[in-house]
Amino acid sequence: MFENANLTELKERGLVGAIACTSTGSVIDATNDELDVFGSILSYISQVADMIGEPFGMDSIEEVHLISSNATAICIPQEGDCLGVLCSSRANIDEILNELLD
Amino acid sequence: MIEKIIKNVLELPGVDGACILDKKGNLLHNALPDFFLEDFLEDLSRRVTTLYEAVDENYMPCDDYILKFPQKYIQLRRSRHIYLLVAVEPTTNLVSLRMVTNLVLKHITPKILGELRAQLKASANEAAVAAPPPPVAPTPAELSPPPVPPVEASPEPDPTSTHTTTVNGRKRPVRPRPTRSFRGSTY
Repeated sequence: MFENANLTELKERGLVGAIACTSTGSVIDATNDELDVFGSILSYISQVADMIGEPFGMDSIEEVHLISSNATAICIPQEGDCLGVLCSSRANIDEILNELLD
Repeated sequence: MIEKIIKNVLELPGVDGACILDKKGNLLHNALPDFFLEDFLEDLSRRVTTLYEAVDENYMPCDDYILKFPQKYIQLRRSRHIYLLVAVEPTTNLVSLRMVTNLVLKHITPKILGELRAQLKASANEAAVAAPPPPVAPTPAELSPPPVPPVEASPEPDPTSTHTTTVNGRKRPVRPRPTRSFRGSTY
């Protein structure tokens, strides 16, 4: 899934890793083996985010950004599966996501 | 005080509204737009607290979230005492938003939090007092017309009686004055 992306260059620009999981938490693809814990909660995060917005007329969630002091994690639901991207706090997330998802 | 603090956020271009929740999920201040119906805010607070707790327990502690919906972005920020929720347009400058919400989180001190909780309690009491009493269903005895008693000369009320008194034409029971004491002496 991540074969088309230049992971080496993206890691220099702040990408820590990326993982794709099914709705049940099974790993489809990952850039390294240390993201399993992150992958296991992606589905739940997207479900809760949907439930937060749905009563107020929002459509399905597009992205969830989890911002901590030294990293930013992004959860992107994709047709039942979930894509998780972990970046350093100073990374240009939009650029990394554009290149990773193209 | 809280209005001034929140106003800085609401004045930012693209911000639709904001609300403040305490750590128990109680809505302390609501400045969200009208399409955030109040009926759903209780569920909203519960889901926000659940999201934070689930990620803290199963991944890593995160204080800030941005939920990107097609129509709006919702920023969630957590401080030591509160959760702050801000609804913004997708075109909003998120860096400016973070800066101005930093000030909100900084200024919500335990003292301000206490004032917010007191206001919440006062408004809840006012709502309880203003609510009309539930209608009492009439009993069958009340529905049937009372029998007309024969006309008799009614005795005049004893003016020296201490059991009832007449106020505005209505009889009111006279209750004894409660006993009060201070340091053993009554007054």
